[in-house]
Amino acid sequence: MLKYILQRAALALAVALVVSFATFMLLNYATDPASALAGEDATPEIVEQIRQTYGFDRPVFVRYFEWLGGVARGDFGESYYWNKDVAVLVLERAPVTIALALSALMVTIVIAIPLGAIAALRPNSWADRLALTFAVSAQAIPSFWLGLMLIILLGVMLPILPISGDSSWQHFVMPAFVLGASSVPAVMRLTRTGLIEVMESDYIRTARSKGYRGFALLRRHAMRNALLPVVSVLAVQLGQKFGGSVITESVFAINGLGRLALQSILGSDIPTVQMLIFIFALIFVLMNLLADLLNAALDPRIRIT
Amino acid sequence: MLDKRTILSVDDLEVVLHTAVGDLKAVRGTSFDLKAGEAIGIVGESGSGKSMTALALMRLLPRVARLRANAIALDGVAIDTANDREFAHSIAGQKISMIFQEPMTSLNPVYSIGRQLTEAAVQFAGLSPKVARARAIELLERVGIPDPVGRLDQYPHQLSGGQRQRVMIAMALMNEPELIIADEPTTALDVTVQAQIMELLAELRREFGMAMILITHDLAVVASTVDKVAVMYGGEIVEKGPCHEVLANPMHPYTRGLLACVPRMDGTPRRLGAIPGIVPALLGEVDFCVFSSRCAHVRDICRTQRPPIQGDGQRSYNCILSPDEIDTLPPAQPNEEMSPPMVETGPALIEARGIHKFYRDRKGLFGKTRTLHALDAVSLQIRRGETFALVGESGSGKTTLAKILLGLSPADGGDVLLDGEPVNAMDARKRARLMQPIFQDPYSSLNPRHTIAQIIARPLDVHRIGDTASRKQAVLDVMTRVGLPERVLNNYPSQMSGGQRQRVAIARALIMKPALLVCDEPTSALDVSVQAQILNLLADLQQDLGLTYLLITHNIAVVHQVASRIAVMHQGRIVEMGEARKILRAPEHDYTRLLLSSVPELAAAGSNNQ
Amino acid sequence: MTISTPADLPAASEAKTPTPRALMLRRALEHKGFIAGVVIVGTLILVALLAPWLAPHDPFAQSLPHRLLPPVWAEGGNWDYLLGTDQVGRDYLSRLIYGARVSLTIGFGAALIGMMIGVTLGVCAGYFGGWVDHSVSFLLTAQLALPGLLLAMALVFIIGPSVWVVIGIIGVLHWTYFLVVTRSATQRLRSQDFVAAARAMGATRWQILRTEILPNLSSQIIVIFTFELGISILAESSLSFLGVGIQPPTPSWGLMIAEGKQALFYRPWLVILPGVSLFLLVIGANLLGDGLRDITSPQGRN
Repeated sequence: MLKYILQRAALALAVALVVSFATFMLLNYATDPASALAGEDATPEIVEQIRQTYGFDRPVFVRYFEWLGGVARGDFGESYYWNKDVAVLVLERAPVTIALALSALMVTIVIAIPLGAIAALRPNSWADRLALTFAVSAQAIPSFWLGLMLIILLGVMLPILPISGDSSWQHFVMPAFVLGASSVPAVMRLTRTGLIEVMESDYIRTARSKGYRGFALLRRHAMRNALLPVVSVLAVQLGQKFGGSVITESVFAINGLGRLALQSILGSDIPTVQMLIFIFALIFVLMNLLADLLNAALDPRIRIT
Repeated sequence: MLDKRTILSVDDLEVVLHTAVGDLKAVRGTSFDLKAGEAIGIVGESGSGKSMTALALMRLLPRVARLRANAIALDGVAIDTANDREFAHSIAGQKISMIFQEPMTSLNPVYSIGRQLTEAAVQFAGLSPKVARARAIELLERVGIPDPVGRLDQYPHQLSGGQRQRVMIAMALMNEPELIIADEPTTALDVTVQAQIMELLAELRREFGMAMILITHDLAVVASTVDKVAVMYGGEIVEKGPCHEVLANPMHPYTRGLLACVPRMDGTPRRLGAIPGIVPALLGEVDFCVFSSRCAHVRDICRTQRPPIQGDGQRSYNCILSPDEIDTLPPAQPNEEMSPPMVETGPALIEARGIHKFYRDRKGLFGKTRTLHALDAVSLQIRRGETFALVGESGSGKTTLAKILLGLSPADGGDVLLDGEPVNAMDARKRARLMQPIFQDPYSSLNPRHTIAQIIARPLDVHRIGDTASRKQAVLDVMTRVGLPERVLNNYPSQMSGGQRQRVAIARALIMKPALLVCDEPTSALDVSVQAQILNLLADLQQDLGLTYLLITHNIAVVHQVASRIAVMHQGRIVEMGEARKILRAPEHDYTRLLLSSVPELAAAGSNNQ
Repeated sequence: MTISTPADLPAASEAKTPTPRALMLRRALEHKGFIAGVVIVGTLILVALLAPWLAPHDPFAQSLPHRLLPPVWAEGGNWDYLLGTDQVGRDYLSRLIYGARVSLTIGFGAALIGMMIGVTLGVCAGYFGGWVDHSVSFLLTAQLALPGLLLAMALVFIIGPSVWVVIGIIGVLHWTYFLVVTRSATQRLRSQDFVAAARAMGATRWQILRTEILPNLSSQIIVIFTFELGISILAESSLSFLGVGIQPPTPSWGLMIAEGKQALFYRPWLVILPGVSLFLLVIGANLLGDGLRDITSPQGRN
């Protein structure tokens, strides 16, 4: 068990390092950050000057390891655009996004899992078809557009919710719904297929032969097996919520990490963009690790080998 | 003997499946009685409706199926009228228990053995957790699980297949049922384990005075276990009666044909009987004899009328032919001896010298490596023209050896010489011309995206032999050889039956005119009547083409039917090798003896139950 | 020659078993979702192809006197401008019609790139196993860990936005689904006996991949392609909405929503219409994908 945890942790660390390196190369090497920073109208001289001032002329490997060393010491560098310590910037903006991501995950769980379970209990019934139609439609709605529609509906036509900002819990209702809705189809489908598969398995037949039926059968014999893959996917979805916050925060004017990312990109603020991509990747990797551990706790086939 | 009370009576059971193309009556007019402590075997090939009957009694039918019966009574009380909740809580698992075919998947992988054993007893039978636990320990001990207390906290994946089936049996006994339904309980297990499990079931049945319904495709298993037998075909019981009478003196043409298809372990092997055709699709009303489409003695009336039931409640069969007429029928099995070819001398066609194979199993990226010695210094020689059988149970290494001999997987030590040349260094075309494989599962050995013509011509394609016209002619030639009609040329595998697919696989192997066919369990996935056709076909081909066979199998009866020489494998070693007749008659190695004594025999029917 | 035992299927019952293709066609015609998907995607492809003939106006022509006209059914609507005009007086219907071109070009282009990367990696990982598989799995985890949208935004912005850059970047970031599915399907196929039979007859690796493996993957690849088509179209619209995708004045539905956002409260159709177009196209692609999956593998629904 301990070996399993260590293995997973080592893999997570390796992924985080590779991702940070790849991002660094893409942002600093495959493209020319100096000319991006200088803007479209800059003369070659100005670009060259920027290149020297920011040290873009030095070998990219050296700069990567400097950056990595900085991260290890807690020094995330200086933002070009905000003229602030990146770490301070991130810490200021993080709580809003964390709150948004967690509430979005709650929205996903509360809608997707019961819907998937209801659909799975009677495959091909009207309830199942309705749930699947809902999933197909939800998958096709661009989330920024869903946000704008909600603003028109709930913010303007029936003004019951605030349409921008993050100063009260009401401000989070629409953004959390929009961000959470994007994961509902995937999680719902997974719950449904997982449960259908489990309900057709031999061990469910065994349980039925022992007299289990209906809800008791579901609760005592099927749910845990069916939820094993859902746990992994939920963790992955939570990780992706941070990336997805870019759109939601920009639609609802929430000053979190997502909006910071958009502003930094538009301001060619490479150190901040680099750091945000790294942090989001790290969150994803940690969530994956958490999912592995949860799976190990729930599944004796992993726990006891 | 006193006439005991009737524990189960089933009258006119019917199971209807609602399918896209219409209603399919998968089980029709099935009636039988079972007395306390008695065992009945329900025997049939796939599609006969035997499993549906078992599932119907337990109310475990799939969603699309509906059950109807005149009456089903358990110990005199009607159970077909009980609502589902009553049935689930007071009958399923309490008065009737069930054991399933797949012990590997029939236990829930995420809950402990202890929980799965005790939960229903606590929840529905009202036992206290403590009493239930004590009973579970007692039963685990009784079914032969070592360290029962420790096992309660273990999970299914920590147990072997045989142990899991023992746990399933213990679980079925938790509430002391009056009837136990065993649906192919040993089909997924090795023959030595099968013998132990069947014996355990017989003992427990006597000890607890339970009645048993044994569902199986294996006539030999039935012969040594049950009192009565019901033979099912096409959803109906076509014949039933005391086990020894039905097996020794079958009346219905199907039973007669089926028994003639089973390879026997005694005497000189004879050509097997064959039942041509397959079970017809039975959509809608069946107002004719279900066996009429395959019966050798069919009369016009059989196609338009239901056959009468002849005989009494004890012994009956559904056929137009009277017992006297049946007595005069020619035997279903031709009286033609089929001695396997004996080749005393000559150079080896294929030779293995000191083959070693290790499996290294590493858990994860940093785990320790475990090494498994899958093959340990295996040497053998197969002579041109003989049938060499490699016999062993699962995990013995026989399939690994076959892969190495075929050159599909490298050995970690030793050499394989094919016609005197190392098989790995050989030119692919030359190798294909000498040796071709036949695999077990005809559903997996044919590419579903290709037509039969493409599949059979594939070896010619790969080696760019001949032009389109000559390839087509070659395909037609081998198809005739293996008994495939020309009209299936453009069929896809999904349009063919299992037996036909196996013929296609044989045709594909033959098109390169090889000297050696390596047949890995060529008939294990097939019904016994189809197995008979394929075994006969292989024998004919050997006689006509002088083929050499390497037969890899776990089925001793098949070995007796076709093998000239055998090698018995156990845990990666050949423990005994020599002339088939000698080894089967007088085995020398302990393992061979155990293996042979575990094989259930049809002939046992007479002695055991009289 | 001894007469072989006759084959076990009488001719009469054989005729009743239809070919796989016939079965598929029958299932397709009975599948309402599939037909809806074909109709929606087919229509939009036609609209995109015939845009110059269908569009009533030049999608780029500005006309300040005609700015912010409402659609024809609203008060003040005008039959010349069926769906009204935008802030600079461009005909909205024409821009929507041309927008279909942008969405479909980017969708198909990006899904094609993703397919090439994902299928190649997936087939290699599944067929060769061992260290190839381990490396590909690691690559997959790393790719999944990257916040795709954010990286795409940054790269498009730094490299400079154009249709080709957007296609390339979306494609390069969307191959994981292809990889996951083809990898496990190839693993399953590789263990099938028909592959062993092909090896035993001396077929080369390339022959096996081309003749035995790929034909069995094709239907799954097409299914994922249609899903990825929808996903890529949504990704493009998100990028364009955020201002780091297609640049004005090119008509992209995402960009049109961003431009209409300023007038959201008093001219909501500027946002609603391109959103509905997006929704239709993507739901069409998804219905097509769901339908194809049901049709090609009736056993493994969803």
